[in-house]
Amino acid sequence: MKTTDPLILFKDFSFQYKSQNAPTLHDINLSVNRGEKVLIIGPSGSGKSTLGSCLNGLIPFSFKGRMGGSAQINGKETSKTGLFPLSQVVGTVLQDTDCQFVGLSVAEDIAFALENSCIPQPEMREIVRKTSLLVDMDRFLDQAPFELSGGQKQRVSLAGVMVDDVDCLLFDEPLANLDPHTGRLAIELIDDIQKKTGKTVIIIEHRLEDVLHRPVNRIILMERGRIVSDTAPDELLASSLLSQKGIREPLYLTALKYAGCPVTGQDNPSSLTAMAKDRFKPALEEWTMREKVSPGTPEGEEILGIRDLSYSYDGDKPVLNDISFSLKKGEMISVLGKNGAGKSTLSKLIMGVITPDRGSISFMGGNLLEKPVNERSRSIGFVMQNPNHMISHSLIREEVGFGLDLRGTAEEERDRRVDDVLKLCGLYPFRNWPIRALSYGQRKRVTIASILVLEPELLILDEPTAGQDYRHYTEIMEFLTDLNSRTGLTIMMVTHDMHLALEYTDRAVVLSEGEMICDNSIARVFSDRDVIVKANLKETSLFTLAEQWDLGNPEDFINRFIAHEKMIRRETRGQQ
Amino acid sequence: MDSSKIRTGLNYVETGSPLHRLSGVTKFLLFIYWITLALLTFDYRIIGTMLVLGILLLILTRVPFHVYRPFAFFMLFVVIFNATWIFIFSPQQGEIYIGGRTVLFRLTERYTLTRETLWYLLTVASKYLTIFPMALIFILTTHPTEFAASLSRLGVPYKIAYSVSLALRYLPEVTKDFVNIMHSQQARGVDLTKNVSFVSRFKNVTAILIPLILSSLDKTDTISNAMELRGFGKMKGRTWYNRKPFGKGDYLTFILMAAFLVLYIYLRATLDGMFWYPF
Repeated sequence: MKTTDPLILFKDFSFQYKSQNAPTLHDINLSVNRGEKVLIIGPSGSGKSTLGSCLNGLIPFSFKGRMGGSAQINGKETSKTGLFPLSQVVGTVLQDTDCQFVGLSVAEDIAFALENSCIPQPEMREIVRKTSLLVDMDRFLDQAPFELSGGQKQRVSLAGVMVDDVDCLLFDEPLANLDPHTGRLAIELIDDIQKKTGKTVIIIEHRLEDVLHRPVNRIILMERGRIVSDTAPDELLASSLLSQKGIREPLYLTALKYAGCPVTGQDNPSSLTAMAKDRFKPALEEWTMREKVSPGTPEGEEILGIRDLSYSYDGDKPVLNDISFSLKKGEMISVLGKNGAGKSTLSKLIMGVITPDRGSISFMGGNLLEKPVNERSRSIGFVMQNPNHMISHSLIREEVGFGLDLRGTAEEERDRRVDDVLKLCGLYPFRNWPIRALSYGQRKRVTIASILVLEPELLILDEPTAGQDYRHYTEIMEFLTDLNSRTGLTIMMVTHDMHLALEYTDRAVVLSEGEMICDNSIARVFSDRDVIVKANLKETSLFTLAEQWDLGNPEDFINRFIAHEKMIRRETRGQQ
Repeated sequence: MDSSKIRTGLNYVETGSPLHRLSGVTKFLLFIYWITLALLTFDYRIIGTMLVLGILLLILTRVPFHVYRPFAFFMLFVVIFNATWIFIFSPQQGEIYIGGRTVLFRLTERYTLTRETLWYLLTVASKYLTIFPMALIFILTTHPTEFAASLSRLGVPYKIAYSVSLALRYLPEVTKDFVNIMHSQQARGVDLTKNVSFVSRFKNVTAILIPLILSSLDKTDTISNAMELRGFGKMKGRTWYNRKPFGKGDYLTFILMAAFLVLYIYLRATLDGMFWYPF
């Protein structure tokens, strides 16, 4: 590594979008050397994506605005370089791989940049073949995008920017759309490619623990448009900056903190395997033993009963096969499984927009299958993953009241119920705002409110925390937990977010390839290696910690952790 | 509205047949040529030959019949339907065009089927039917990007040509979004069935279209940024990964097309009147 020759050099750099009245980035001083691997973290709105756009040239060439200070890449000011020359230096893999995948087949998509550079066909085919080997997609060259998984699409996107022989690979939230197992593979792939090619790698993410699965040289922490820390991972992890800035630290470190172990930079906190087991083990053991926890089995009457449910889209390949489980009134459970496991089909069957081939669904003692969709919508609410897919009005009040209007509710009652639910959801101060002015997380809340106003008995949420940083994640989940405990609303969450399942639900139903492979307490699910593998989950680091350090039964350890976590949450809620 | 079990329409099907190996430019030109010739003639010698030739070529693609069976039946239905209506509105059309009146079957004075009219209807029906196998061949054997590449070779600016390919790429995505949005709105009580009045049904459809349009526009922005980041629009021209170079088959096709055109003109020139009527 030539330390004297930085690839990226920002000096007192600032940027203000044309449409905004304050700068999004301030006083950015950043230098990245060739061959370095750097992680940029920060909560939503911290400016980390804007910084990414400054690196690949979208700023100032596509997003206009005012730049201050100096931003040099390869020794040249970016503003004087142009978007196309910059894209030959910095290759970007976007968060939304569907948008980046413009070709009709894998090979064509990888070739896209080459086509645009007018590379002759024989040469192009050779480069595509070689690059596809590098990302292990050579057997899929003729596949169409809809035949590929999210992870495979990302590999194609990566190959598509590598054909240009760029100096630097920029990954914008590479983990956002992947299940835990695929996310882990993506991090491994990025690391392998970097080792093989020696390219500079910049990863923008807020899921710190997942990125640290493979080492990085440096972590840059951003907050409100400024760089607040630029250090080695170990130092950052040992400091208290992460929790102050709303970034989730690795779970094993949280466990160590709960057990009262002081962790310093010298303890190699960025890698569990490198930490000194003997130094911390006694304290952890003592903490685990201090209290024996086992979650109680839920009591109460059954609200939803699913028996031998089967469905297939084409009458041939079953998407769901003989699923049976039941949901008790007031429960909050998660349905886990990788993409294509049948999770959304299950929700759609309960909503009634599709009809099962076999099996039954009972709801509050009655046969749900006899009821048409709009009758079911009176007692079962469904919140989609992407709030923008649900919102059809421009004002918050209108959107939230829309469901009541459809039911012909009298105006007075409608207004009362809308006000009540807006207060419940903390949206009352914004009630007359246009929805466009809200953040993604607030919009999510609007969609939840627009369902809650219908007073459902059961609420189904598809990936309630997708695309949200830790702070917003916590907000939404605390809100749902609170709702659940105050109103007794039964909540079923369809997700592949393991943290969510671990911290906020007691029980999980796990689907894999249309089969139900597990219906058990969350600690049991996460300590069952077989289930973890089949469902494309990954071991939580709690499990790894318990196992590698011989802390007894991992399930007990996980239970202890969950109990401690809940206690702390109760305390913080009590203080508020 | 039950949209849960959607069947896909007609698509490119890879079988590796000789027709698949032809360049997209050739097939596109052949398709245009075929339509033009078919529409400009009422000579059954030509129409009949083209119909038989088209069906033979369609078999040569080796695409199994069941792929296009529903479309074939639909087309047949449309053509027969069309001929029936012509007969209902002007039962003497054939006599006017061809001349002569050989009665085959008398229903009423007005609705008398003459041999001339029957020949006329057969000619018109076959004429439209001729286009169908060639359209199928074009769709089933031309990869969409190859088509885009062909358009650009024929002089269409590549940004426009590429948008054809992009439209095909994102159509399934938009369909998927549409179905999901519809499902979630239905689950919220939006009624799209005939239980509600036309006006409120119309209003309810907008509850699906607005989010669909807004989210698609967002997506368009991201896509165009992603494309620019990969150099789209950097140069005046562009090469195509999937463009097929001209091969022997293409030259042979052009020679055969020219030969057939000579025959076509000869038959046209020697024919007395518009219709060829052997009786």
